[in-house]
Amino acid sequence: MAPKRSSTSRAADESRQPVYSEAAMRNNAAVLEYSRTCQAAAAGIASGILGLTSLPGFVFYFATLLIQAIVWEAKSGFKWNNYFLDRSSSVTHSLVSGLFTYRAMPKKVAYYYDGDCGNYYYGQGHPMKPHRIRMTHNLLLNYGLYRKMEVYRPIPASFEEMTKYHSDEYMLFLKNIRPDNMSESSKQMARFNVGEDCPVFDGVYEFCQLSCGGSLAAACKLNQKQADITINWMGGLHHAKKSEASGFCYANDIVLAILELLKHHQRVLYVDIDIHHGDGVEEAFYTTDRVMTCSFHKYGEYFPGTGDLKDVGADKGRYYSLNFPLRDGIDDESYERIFVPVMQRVMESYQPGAVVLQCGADSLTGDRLGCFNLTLRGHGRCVEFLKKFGVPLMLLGGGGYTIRNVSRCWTYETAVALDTDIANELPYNDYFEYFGPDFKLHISPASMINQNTREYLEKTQIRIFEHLRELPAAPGVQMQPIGDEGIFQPDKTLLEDHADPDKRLPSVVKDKLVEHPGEFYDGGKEGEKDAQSHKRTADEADNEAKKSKVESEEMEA
Amino acid sequence: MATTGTTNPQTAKNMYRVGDYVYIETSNDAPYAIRRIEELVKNANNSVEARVTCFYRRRDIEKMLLKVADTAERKFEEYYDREEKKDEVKPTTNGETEKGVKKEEIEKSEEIPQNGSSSKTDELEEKKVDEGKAKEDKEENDGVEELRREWGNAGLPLGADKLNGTQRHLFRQRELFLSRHQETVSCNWIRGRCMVTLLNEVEDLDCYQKDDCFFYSLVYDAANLTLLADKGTIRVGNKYQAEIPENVKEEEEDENKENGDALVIDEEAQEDAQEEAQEATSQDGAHRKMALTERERIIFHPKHSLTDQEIDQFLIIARAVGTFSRALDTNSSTRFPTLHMVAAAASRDVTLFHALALLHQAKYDLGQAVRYLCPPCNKDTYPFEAEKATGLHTTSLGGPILCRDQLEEWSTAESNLFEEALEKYGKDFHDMRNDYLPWKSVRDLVEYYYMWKTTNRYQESKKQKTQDQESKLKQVYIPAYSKPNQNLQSNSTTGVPIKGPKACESCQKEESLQWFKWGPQSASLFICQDCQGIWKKLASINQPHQHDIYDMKEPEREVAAKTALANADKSGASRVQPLNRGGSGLVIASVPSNHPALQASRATAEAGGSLNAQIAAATAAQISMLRGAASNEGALNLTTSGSSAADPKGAGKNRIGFTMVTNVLGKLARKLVSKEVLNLRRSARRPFKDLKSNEIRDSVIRTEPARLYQAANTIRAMTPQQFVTVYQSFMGITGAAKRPATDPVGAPAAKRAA
Repeated sequence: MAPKRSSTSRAADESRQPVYSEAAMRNNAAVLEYSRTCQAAAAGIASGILGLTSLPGFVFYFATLLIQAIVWEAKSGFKWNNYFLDRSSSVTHSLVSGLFTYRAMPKKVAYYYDGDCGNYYYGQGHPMKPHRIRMTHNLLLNYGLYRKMEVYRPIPASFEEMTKYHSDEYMLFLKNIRPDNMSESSKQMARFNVGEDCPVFDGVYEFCQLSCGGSLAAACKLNQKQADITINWMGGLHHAKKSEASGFCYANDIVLAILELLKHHQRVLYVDIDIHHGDGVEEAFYTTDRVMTCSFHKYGEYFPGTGDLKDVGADKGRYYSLNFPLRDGIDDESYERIFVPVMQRVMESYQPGAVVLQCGADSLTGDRLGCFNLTLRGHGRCVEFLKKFGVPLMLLGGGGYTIRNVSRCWTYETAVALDTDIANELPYNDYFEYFGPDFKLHISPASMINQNTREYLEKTQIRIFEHLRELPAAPGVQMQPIGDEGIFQPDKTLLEDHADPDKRLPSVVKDKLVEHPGEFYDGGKEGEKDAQSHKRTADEADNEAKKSKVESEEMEA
Repeated sequence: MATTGTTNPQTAKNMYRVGDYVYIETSNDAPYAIRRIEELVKNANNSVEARVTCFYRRRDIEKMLLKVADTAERKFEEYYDREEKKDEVKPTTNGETEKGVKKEEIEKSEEIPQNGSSSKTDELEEKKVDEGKAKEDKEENDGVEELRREWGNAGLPLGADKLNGTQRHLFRQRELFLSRHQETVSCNWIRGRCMVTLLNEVEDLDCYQKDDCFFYSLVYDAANLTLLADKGTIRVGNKYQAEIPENVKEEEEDENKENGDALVIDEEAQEDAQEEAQEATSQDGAHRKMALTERERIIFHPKHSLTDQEIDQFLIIARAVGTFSRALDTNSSTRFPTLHMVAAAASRDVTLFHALALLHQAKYDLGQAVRYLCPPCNKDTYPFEAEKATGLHTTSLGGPILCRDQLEEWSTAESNLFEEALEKYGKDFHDMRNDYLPWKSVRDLVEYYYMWKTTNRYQESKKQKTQDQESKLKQVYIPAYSKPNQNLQSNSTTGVPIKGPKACESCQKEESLQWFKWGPQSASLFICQDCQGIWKKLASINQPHQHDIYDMKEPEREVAAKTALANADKSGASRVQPLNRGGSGLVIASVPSNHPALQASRATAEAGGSLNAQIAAATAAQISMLRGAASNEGALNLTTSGSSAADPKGAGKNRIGFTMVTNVLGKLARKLVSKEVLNLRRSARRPFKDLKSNEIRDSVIRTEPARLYQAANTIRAMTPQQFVTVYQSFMGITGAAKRPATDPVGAPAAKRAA
């Protein structure tokens, strides 16, 4: 610290006209701030170790704050007016931001899960198994992570919500297709790419509703600032296109979630560590600068074939799509060596308001479809790194076809999000036998050749940095008041199911329950109206038939 | 032969795993084929076979395709230029995909490579200079055009333009073409490991100029004779992009957003508010109202005053209640003979999930939660919300709560039915439900199935499955190949280099440890040991040479084709297996749709079964030729041993205006067979009438070899030796058994005739 008055001001001092050295003032303020930040961080750590949370934690913080103020006083030789304009500044200075440093230590985590999602079955021999989500859930319970976070069951997404991105006809098709009527609509199935990789299975639409509902809820949660990290392992289906299914994905919950986040954030960053390229999300936001998509994936003779280094976006979105093509067998160390600097640079230059991380677990070693060589640590490191920035973060599932490793991975990443260490011994759970023969959490890498040479990775990284340099300083949009935001349009039928039986139904739902005027009654209502109502029935039936005909014609067109 | 993971460096070198790229020796003359191992299968007689994906060398590809591919604008910088240019001209035309645009441009460049933009002309000039150099290099050779098998720098990594003609030629040999074609080969043919990578724009020449290093950038489609860029495109247009909401909610102020402070302040304010709320309510132990959005239903949260230990205690009580309730439940008490099993059943995760949900409903009041565990028979005393939240259906009021999952719900009879059904239908739960367990839902079946997998009964059935899978290997040990090559001319036994019969054709060296024959026999050329290695791996000697593809020329080529095909046939069903994403690529080069070779190769693709595209094309060309000329039925048997299933309709469909060259035996058949058996004019007028193929063949077989040879000589001058090879192979296939004397007699007869 420097005395606030410079030597030249002494004379002025004598004439009782205080003159301050501006440089010294500023320096002192800076010193105070650094010191306060250090104190807050140290106090945060200390209170974390001592287990002081909520009220005792605050008391502890203020206690350390006072101690520090006293230390400052001592340092200034108890002549505060030599250094500060105001005595109280030693206590109050950057109290708020210090409190933030202090507060930022524990993260609030919201976790989304629906007990039904494990029971959807893609079909015999299909590698995608929603059951892995339930396995993760059970592991979380038995590791005791369940009770450390807020656990939510999301409301399923409605048709209207899903058509915020997807085309109406595609969603209508998904809604109506069932295994027993699919032979009638083979033409449409071909058009929407449903059939081979993306089979029609029982409840495919509901499955989409669940995964989208989870991600939308997670996005809302972040928007309302009710959580720092939200997790939805049911989501992350990144291949689905606007009106096309692709790569086991039907409805793109990620795009819907990002659209929701965009209502509150100017810029959203999407990061994809699935082994497959996140083509659905990249395509959805290819021409906008409000979403930056980054994908680290295997490229070359691999599904979906997109994601070349050269694909950087188009129009306004040019250089807002980042693709890091990788080759077979990348290991933890190499992955971290590229992920950390690239994401560091992206976070700095893009400054997103929220981050969505797709944690596809098919980039783990030994995956049924993958060919990377990552372990849980390397995979989880990405979560850890992105969490560090303190930006609202959404973790989503994705690929992963060796289900025991998928549930291991997502359990570990939940623990990372919660800042909790978990034992390597797996706790007993309903699906314990799946994790044999070692019953350990962590997996070891395979002995395969890492075809990503250091040279290749470095050169690619340099090229990516060149692209990032093209980015202007964080882009924004004009602030304008907008009307009713986030109009909640729950699915009417499912809402009914989810409604509290003890409470009066909301009028939206109740209106739906009003019986059709053309309904036949057994009760005493039959009478003079009867003839009329019959007539109306006929008319309405006619109308409806016409309407559906028109609709189907439109579909054909 | 197959061993498991010892990591001795020597054995590691000879250990081949799935996913490795390997050299495969198909013939003594030919260079190695490059393949990637997809699957290793041990078959009945204990030999190991590999299912491999083919990578084609340049020599295996149609010349005109290469020409287009080499001159196509595939250089990386130009991609950028072009994209920018395109942006100027048509700023992302809606609906039209980028794919379409690119394709169009490449087709254009295919047609008129001369009228490109300025940058292109620069490149062209450069190319011409290169060509000129190359010409100088090879001036002494007459057939310059014949020699040239590369046309430009396209498809080469950065820095390729620095190479001179010969260097570039050698480097070009490292370029491969991926195919979607897979075949099965014996592992004994593996001769070493190599590395194939996708050509990458950031790496320069040196990265690829290592030993055993190859690269590819295009996919060769043997069926359509096209080269595709293995690249999908992100489509641009209203049909593909999401509509981005224009505005951000106002409450977040700009400056706050910029420095990321918005969160801090809001959060803190919120936190304070929550803190106050908690303070206000924590005294009476009621749980604090959680902030909820409309999109969710809360099941559990950690903001309560209970310690971990207290929760654990509560969970134990829940399990205890579960155990007791099972004792009361007649169904369960008969199922579980011992108390241990009851306790285990009561400790399943479903009980714990439910207990935690109840705890939440009790507002984290342990006393209330325990009361919920054994509710009296009154609807108001139990929070049904808990069931809504977890999706469990466990309610039985008036007594201890009983939570059961599917594993427990199912009776023994039901699980027996399930196992029976599983055996019959596999995992088709729909059929299983319809035929066996109609009172269960498909979801129940799925849930039960996954739980059933943890039981002993599954372990037993799995044992059989793993036995089946044992035939699939992860890796295979193949000892270094030591048998001498048949082309070995002389070998130094003393370890001292010996002088070859001639200077090495490739490096002009005089002395080497081993000397190999190289090139067609008539030329009698030799190469040294080192150059043999290069030749086998890179399919080229040190400079472009007129005999570069000698092993693929007649008649040796035909023989090679035959043996290869026979081998492919023997080694089981090799098949064309398209990868998941066919057709998403971008066509770089293709032949006109009426090109004969294209149709021919299509026919073979249908027949499914060829070792490489050249052979395939050759084979199938003869099939279609057969239809075209409606003559040499005999030739069919000579050449299509591997593809007898060829669909003649497919080959004959569009045979408008192209000429075909009939092979010798085909021509012979025309000359020798009597009019009654084969009347060319007659059959030409009746294109759909079948030829009497057997009769034609028989009459050829019955003909004197000497007469055959004479006739053959009038068609094409050939040495008796050559003729004998062709003839013998023909006889070998058409069932020489009919006339066993043919082979020994044939050769001398031919000689006599000569």
